[in-house]
Formats: sequence, C-alpha cells, structure tokens
Amino acid sequence: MLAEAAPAVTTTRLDKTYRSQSRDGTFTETHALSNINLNIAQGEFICIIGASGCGKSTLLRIVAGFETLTTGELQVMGKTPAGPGPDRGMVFQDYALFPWLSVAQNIAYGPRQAGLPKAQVAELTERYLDMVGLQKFRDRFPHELSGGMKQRVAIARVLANDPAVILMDEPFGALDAITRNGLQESLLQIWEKARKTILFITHSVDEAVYLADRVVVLSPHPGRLKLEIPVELARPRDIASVEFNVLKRTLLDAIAPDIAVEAAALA
Amino acid sequence: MAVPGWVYSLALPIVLIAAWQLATVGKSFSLIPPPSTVVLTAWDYAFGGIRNDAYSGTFATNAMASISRVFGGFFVAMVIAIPLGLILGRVLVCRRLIDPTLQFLRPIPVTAWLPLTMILFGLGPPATIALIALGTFFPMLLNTVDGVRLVEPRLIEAAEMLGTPKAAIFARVILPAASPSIFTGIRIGLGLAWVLLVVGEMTGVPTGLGANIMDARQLSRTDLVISGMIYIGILGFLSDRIVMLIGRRALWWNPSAR
Repeated sequence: MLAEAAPAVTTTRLDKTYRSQSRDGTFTETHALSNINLNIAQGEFICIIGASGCGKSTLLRIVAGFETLTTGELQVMGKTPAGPGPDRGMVFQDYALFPWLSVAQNIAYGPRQAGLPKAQVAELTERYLDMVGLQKFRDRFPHELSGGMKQRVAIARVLANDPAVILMDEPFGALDAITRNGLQESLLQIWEKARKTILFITHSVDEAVYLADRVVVLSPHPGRLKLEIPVELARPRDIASVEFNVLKRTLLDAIAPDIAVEAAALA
Repeated sequence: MAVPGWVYSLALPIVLIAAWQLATVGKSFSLIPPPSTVVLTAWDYAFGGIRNDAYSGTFATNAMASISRVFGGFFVAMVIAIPLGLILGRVLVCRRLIDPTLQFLRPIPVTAWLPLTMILFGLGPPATIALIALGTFFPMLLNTVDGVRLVEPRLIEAAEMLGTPKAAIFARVILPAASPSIFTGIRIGLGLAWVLLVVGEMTGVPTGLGANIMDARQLSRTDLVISGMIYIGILGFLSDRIVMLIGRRALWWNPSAR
C-alpha cells in the first residue's frame, strides 16, 4: 500500500439542488444530494449503492464534471476540477462508444485528443487491447460486438487516458449474469494491475461486496450518506462464505427501509 | 428452391408489360401505344435510324441537359441545406428564428412555385434548376437538423471526458454521429430531383427529357412520352445506386446503411 498520499477524491459538505421550471412558471426544487462528505484514497475501489432516487448517479456525474454542485466542495487529486476532463474517465451503462470508430480507434481516441505522438498512441492502444482481451476484435465496429465486449472497449478507452479516477455508472447493469461475472473478474484483474481509483455505482449488493474495498450506502430524498463499510475480505472473494453474507445482510438491512418506502409509494 | 432475387424483381414488370401488350396491340385507335411500339420509339430516340423524326437520336443531348439540371438543382440545394441544417440543429436561437418560416414554406408544392420562379429567373435552365433546388432543399435540411439534434448526449459526454477540446466536439462527434441522417436526406433529395424534372422543365426550356415529354404530349406522341418516362426512371435508379455505393463506403460503420 502507498503511504498516506493525497486522497484521490474528496467531497466536503457537497449539496445538489435541481431547480426546474414547470409550465405555469413556478419553480420546483429537488434536493438531490445533501451534505456528502467522502474521502477516497488513491487506488481505492469504492462501490456506492442505494435505492433509486438516492442521487448516486448524480454524485458520480458531479465528480465527472457533467453536472455542477450547488454548495460544498469537490476535489480530485487536490484540485477543484472545472468541467469534464480526461483525469476522470467515465464508463457508462450504455457504453457510449463512438460507432464510427473501430475498437482500436475507440481506444486510441483519448490519447489522440491528448496530442500524444503516433508511436505512443499505438503503444497505448496495443497495451489496453491486450489488457481487455480484444486483440482479435481490434478492427471490428461497435455494432458488431456483444454488450460485454462493448463494455470492455469502454473500460480500455478510459484506461488509455491514464485517469486519476475511473467512474463507473452501473456499468454491468445491462449485461446477463454470466457476462457480468466475467467482467467483474476482468475489472478486478485490471484494477490490481493498473491500481486505479475506482468509483463504482451499482444497485447490486452482491456486486458491491464482491468488488469494493469500501461500500458506501446512500439513502434517498435527499440523497445522503447512510453507511460506510470497509470490506476486508481477501480476494478472490467467496460469495457463499459466511463473512460475505454477514456483510451482505448488513447492507441489505441498511437499504431495506428505503426500498420499503419506494414500494409503498408505488403501491 | 434457390430462386435468384432478380427473378422476383422482373416478374411483376413482365406481367404488366404482357397485359399492356395484350390490351393495346392491333387496336389502331388506341390512345396508348403497345409496348412493342414504345420499344421501337425508345430505340429510335436513343440511336435514331427508325423513325427519322425530330426526336430520333436526340436522347443523349436531352439526357445530358436533364442530368445537368437535376444535379445542378440538387447541389445548389445541398450546399445551402446542409450547412444551414447544421446551424439550425445546434443553435436554438437560429432554430427559433428560422424554423417557423421554413415549416410554413415547406408544404407549398413545387408546381405552385413555377410562375414565380419563371418571373424571378426567366425562361430557361436557371428556373429549372431553381425549382429542383427548391423541392430538394427541405428533405435535406430537415434530415440534417434532425441528425444534429438527435445526437446521443452520451456521446458528447464521452468525448468530453476523453479530453476532446470544446471547439472540436462538433467536428469529431456531432458531424460523424449525424452523418447517417444527413446521408438519408441527400438520398431522398436526389430522388426527388428526378421526380421534379418534368415540372422543372415546364419553364420553357427547349431540351431535356422532361421538356421532350411535355412536347410529345402536345403532339399526341404517347410512345415518346412513355419512352421519356422509362429513361427518367432508369437514370433516377442509376443515380440512387451511385449515391448508395458512396454512402456505404463512407458510412461503413453504420449497420442501418447496409
């Protein structure tokens, strides 16, 4: 482990309120996030879970720079970011690959924007094609790939930019269980090799306990921190073990009241 | 049972032509000539040597005149519609300023523009080109606007987080993402240009396939009218094929362009 270096991401009393104007001209305010204080160490793998409406995606989008915070502070590697940037790579649930670029070109896209010399772009492309196991598919186009392969390209594309933080917004949520398990394994291997800070949003308690160093539970209306649990199980983790399930029980109990409220609201 | 595709494609025309032949052949006062007569006229129109009238062997000259007007009008429309569409699709203020006027002008038939066009551009080819440009302008414009407006916001976000400079987002993301829709507009526009050819050549131009058809109608030369129709159909089909080939090469990554 690195000595206590500067944290990768910190949020201090972060607050987000959406203001939307309805047709009659009145403003409605939605308090999406309230007093979020997070401290994420470099190289840490954080999973954020919570019932829908807890603001987990909003939080991630604020860190990415796609949305602004209302009050409070956000720092990435000790600096306040202005808008989106290549130091914070995002992996979207719906991949968002460029359909007009091949697999290799998608991966090379970021390094090209950075203006790296050709040889270096090529080298990075090869390295990350290898890392996600898509060497054979390098000249294919996104529409020719399965969902799991697309998400591998999306991960490689972000890694090629050597970001300080990788933000993942329910990245495996649209994949079938077997593909998902495969990608979870690959992601852990990549993370262990590249030692990147990962901020990973999921609605699956299993996924969170399986992947994370620390699980953060958000609670809705407004989104606020409810619980933070370190997961100190050795990897690879046994999802059938007692320890795993004890943690899972704790997290499920933390989320249960929010889900009950949601269910009652729908009934 | 592997019947080639072209067998299916030709079945209906053969049946229709056979029916047409049976219904018209040997009737000396039929207003519609039988296909056998049309074939002779079409041959004579293209190569001469059969009828030796004013139209014998004039197809190439007339076709060239028509092709230049079709592509002239189409290109004029394209160079205005696509840049304008890119702006309207991106800039809300421009869309609010211009879109209502365009929506009002759009349903006016090209035929209705004929008298005004002749006043503005005089008799002759410029009026023809203007009419064709007018008719092909709207589908190209609307497809460009939609293509730009409907670019996945996710793709723009992806480009931003990968470090694309703000000023380069348009060229590197919006333009390629909108290109299939722009291409669809181009294809529809060129198809329409051929559809508008006959109306376009009602502006008093002496040559052209459309002008020949209108003249032949005055002379009750229905065989020549039908020959002209067939040639316009063939040229329109060929030009669509060429555009399709170009599109498939340029948009090879787009599964719906196949």
